[in-house]
Amino acid sequence: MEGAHSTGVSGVLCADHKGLCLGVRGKASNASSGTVAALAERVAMLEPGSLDPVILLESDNSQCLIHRNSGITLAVYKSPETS
Amino acid sequence: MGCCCSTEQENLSQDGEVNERTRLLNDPVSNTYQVTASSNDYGNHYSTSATKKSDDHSVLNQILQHTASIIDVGALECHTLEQHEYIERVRTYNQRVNAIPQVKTSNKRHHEVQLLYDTPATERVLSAQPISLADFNMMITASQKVVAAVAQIRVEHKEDLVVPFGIP
Repeated sequence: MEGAHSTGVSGVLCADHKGLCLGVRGKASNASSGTVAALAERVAMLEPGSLDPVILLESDNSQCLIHRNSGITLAVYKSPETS
Repeated sequence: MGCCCSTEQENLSQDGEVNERTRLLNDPVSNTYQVTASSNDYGNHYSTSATKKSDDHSVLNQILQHTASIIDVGALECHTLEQHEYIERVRTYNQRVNAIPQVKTSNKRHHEVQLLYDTPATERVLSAQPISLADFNMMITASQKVVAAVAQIRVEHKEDLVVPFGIP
């Protein structure tokens, strides 16, 4: 998690396959681990059989990148002006 | 004599009368334009230079009449809009579009039919650049590191889990 701070990342969150928060850093909240894990699971159903996609949620002033790999869901919060 | 090479000169007709040596087709190397559009004279004799210009005009008029309905795209001049003209047109078109009364949908299905009605410029948002390659690679790499790190979680057995209480 520490290595990702250099690229404009403002928060990191890790969740397991059941939505349990494994770790959180920065402005990420552990309360959103369930939502992040559920979102990654649902989006992976869009294209069955393909690799897990990288989800990008964009707002006016921040981005949230979500990716699930081997059951572990990683959410990275970024600020666009610092990336 | 009709052969490829001959020392004899060609005996062309001098006074214009038709004989076996009269050219049926126009001389390709000739620089003068010979009119053959006259329907009465074609194949019989050639027009003289006195009537050549009038035939030119008649032929041209016929062509213009036939092609009057055809639009020549190649001859159109390049129509580029000036900046102020473009802005003026945008404003005019927007005024006309806004002047049209908007179709009112029933309130019951208002939120069901129009999903993005509160987003001001949906086409601009939807056509924006998707995730950058750097971010994508960063996520892939980071998630792989996280998976590797989670796989290294071990339980250190420090002491027994079940501890007998002091039961006499």
